[in-house]
Amino acid sequence: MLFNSWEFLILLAVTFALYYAPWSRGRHGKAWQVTLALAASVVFYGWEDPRLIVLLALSAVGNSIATARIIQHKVAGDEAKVKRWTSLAVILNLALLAGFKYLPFLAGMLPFLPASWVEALKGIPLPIGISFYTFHGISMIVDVSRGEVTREGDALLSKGGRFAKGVRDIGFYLLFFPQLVAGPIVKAKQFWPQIAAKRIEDIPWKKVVRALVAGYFLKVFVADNLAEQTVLLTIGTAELSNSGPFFLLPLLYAYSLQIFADFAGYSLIAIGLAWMFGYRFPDNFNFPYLSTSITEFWRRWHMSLSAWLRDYLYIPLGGNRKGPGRTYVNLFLVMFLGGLWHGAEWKFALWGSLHGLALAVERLLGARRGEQRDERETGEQGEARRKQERRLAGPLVGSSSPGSSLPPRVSLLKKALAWFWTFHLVTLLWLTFLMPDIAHIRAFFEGALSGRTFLSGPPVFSLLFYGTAVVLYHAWGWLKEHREAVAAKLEGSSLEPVLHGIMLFLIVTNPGAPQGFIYFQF
Amino acid sequence: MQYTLLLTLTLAACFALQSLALRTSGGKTTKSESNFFSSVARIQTGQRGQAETLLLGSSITGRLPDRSAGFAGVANLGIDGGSAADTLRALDRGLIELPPRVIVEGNTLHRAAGQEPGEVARAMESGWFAVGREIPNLGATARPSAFLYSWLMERKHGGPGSGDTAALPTGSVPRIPAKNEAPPLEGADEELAEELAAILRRLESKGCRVTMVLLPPGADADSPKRRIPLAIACRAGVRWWDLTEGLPAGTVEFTDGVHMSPESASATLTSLLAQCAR
Repeated sequence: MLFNSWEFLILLAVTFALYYAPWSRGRHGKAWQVTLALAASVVFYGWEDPRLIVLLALSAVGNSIATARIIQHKVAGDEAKVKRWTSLAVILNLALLAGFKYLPFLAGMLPFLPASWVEALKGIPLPIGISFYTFHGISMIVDVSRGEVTREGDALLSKGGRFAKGVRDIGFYLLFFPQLVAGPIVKAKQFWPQIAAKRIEDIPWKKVVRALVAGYFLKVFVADNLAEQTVLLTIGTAELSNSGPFFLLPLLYAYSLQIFADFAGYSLIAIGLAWMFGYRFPDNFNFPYLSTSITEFWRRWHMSLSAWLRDYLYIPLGGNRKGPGRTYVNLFLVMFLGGLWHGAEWKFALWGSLHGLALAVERLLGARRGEQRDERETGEQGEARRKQERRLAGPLVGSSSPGSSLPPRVSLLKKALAWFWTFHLVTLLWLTFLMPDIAHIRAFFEGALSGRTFLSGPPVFSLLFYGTAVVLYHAWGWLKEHREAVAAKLEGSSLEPVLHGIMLFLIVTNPGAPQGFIYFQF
Repeated sequence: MQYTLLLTLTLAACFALQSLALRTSGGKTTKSESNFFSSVARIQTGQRGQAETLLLGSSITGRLPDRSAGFAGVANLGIDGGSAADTLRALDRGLIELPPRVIVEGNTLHRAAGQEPGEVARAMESGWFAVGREIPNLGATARPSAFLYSWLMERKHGGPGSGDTAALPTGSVPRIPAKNEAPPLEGADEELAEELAAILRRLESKGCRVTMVLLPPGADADSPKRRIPLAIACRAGVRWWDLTEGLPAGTVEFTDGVHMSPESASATLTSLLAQCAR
């Protein structure tokens, strides 16, 4: 079920009305609300293909059993058993993901497998959202084993009725519909403490409206309209190599803006919906196209994935604690696996690897620059700056752009160049994300470098008409970061309802043809 | 309270501006940046009010003017990037009201061979399509992007022609082709021809006069662009007219080699109406 479908709006209205029904204020309010939201999530997930619910139920019950066992052993102080159950549960979660997502991919690479087996394995369908709820499951297991998720009465979780409640709550965490199929990836330690009875008067409506209007605007007005043009990038290698730069480059820029609008729009809708039901999700995007380095880009883009990879992969691998060489390897490895998480195809691995390489190079250059400056700076001045840098360090990889001591104008020019380079590198790398294979990427470059002057109106028009919304959105982000007082004044001013009115008007009168969310396929 | 009031006022102002723009442009925009919405817009507006003549086809047909440009009783249902197959099926199923006359562009019918119905065909059955047909402000023709795109197109290529444009100096007239003129077809082409010929027979049996036409730039004799529509016309026993037969070279102007300029499109429609109304 799509957030931009009539079925969803009906499900939402019914669930919302029942969720805050008068009896939700009683002694069993929490039980009612969690059970209802869980039931709505099951309907939401199984709407297109009810068979998928079986897999989800398996994941929920399996993770609940493991969680109960881990808590039991944790309370008993048996760390060896905690570790054993944790490893087993993480492996089983990964096996579930591997079975459905990576087995068909691997089967094609094993020459000794009979052709009929390969065919059968390749026929395994990819359950929607499996990458997201598997990561939620792992987060649950690891946070519980680390003692970061605890509740009163957890010691009794393995007994009778409490176990059933545990399954219900864990199921709710895994399945809660706003984040079920495409995130944001909410960590168990963030979500678990929020499970409680909710009251309608506690809903922060301002935040709900802001998130939903911006989210639907980005998705329905910007992304869906741009998608109609960017689909031309996948028409075929012959068509790509026979076209010219004035046709292909606007389409590439349009895709760069489309993927942002699609995913950031989805995330904002998810955040707004969660607020409606009394839950706070972490931000997933922070104006990523303002970034002046790839390191900064990953602090702003799909932040919940970056944070997940940091907590459950980068740090366990040793992070940056085992020397520079190992840090670069870890960075590359995390991004390579992060790329593969997006899809079981070499193109995603390539996309992740190139980002990993860029991160490692930036860190290397940053470290060298830092060393040179440290030689110049001494005493308190240097220490104060290093403290500042540590404070600003990002979620995955820390700081790579030490503070500048250049004059303001030179520094501004340097920043502008860094922004230009970063935006274009990110945009260029989206090619590996979008194109079906390497042959298409090659054909794109053949066309883009052909020198033909063929110009098509609709892609340029769409890029300018719909892309402007993304540019303005980022201009707003820049204002928030660099002119806080002005932004705060504007946020509460009468400009906001006027802007919301225009956005709603465009959502209703100028939507694109309904498209699925790009990240649903992952 | 202030927020709600300002929001409502803004929305009202936006819809008022849109209504004004719609009125100024004669109730419809000529083209949007999206093939899908351009087509949906034509079909939605084409179904409002009673039309005497329906023009079915692709973007080649889409460039022809209609009643909003002074050609009384003409509704243009051209599907950009598609063909007349989807609108013929919709007529057959009663999704579109049957007019006294239907002119079918044959140039692009070959595109439908072996293909599933297009996204415009699927859209015609949706609820939002019906809403847009009944409420002009929510229709595809009233999209703000369509106003801007149409304005840019008209600045570049000129506005639509008028109903008093002279006809093309065609050297041919519509005729009912003999059965043995039908070119042999195979596979998906054969299936399509059989399906569409049956539809045309049904439409004619309900009192609708159908003319299958090959519009400029026409097609070679051996091309499926000509073989398929001719085969359909022969099998259905409807009138066939290749407008390019005997047409002096250079008479018709194109903007991109395929689509006619506004003047040529008006002249073509004048010819079509003059002959097909007989």
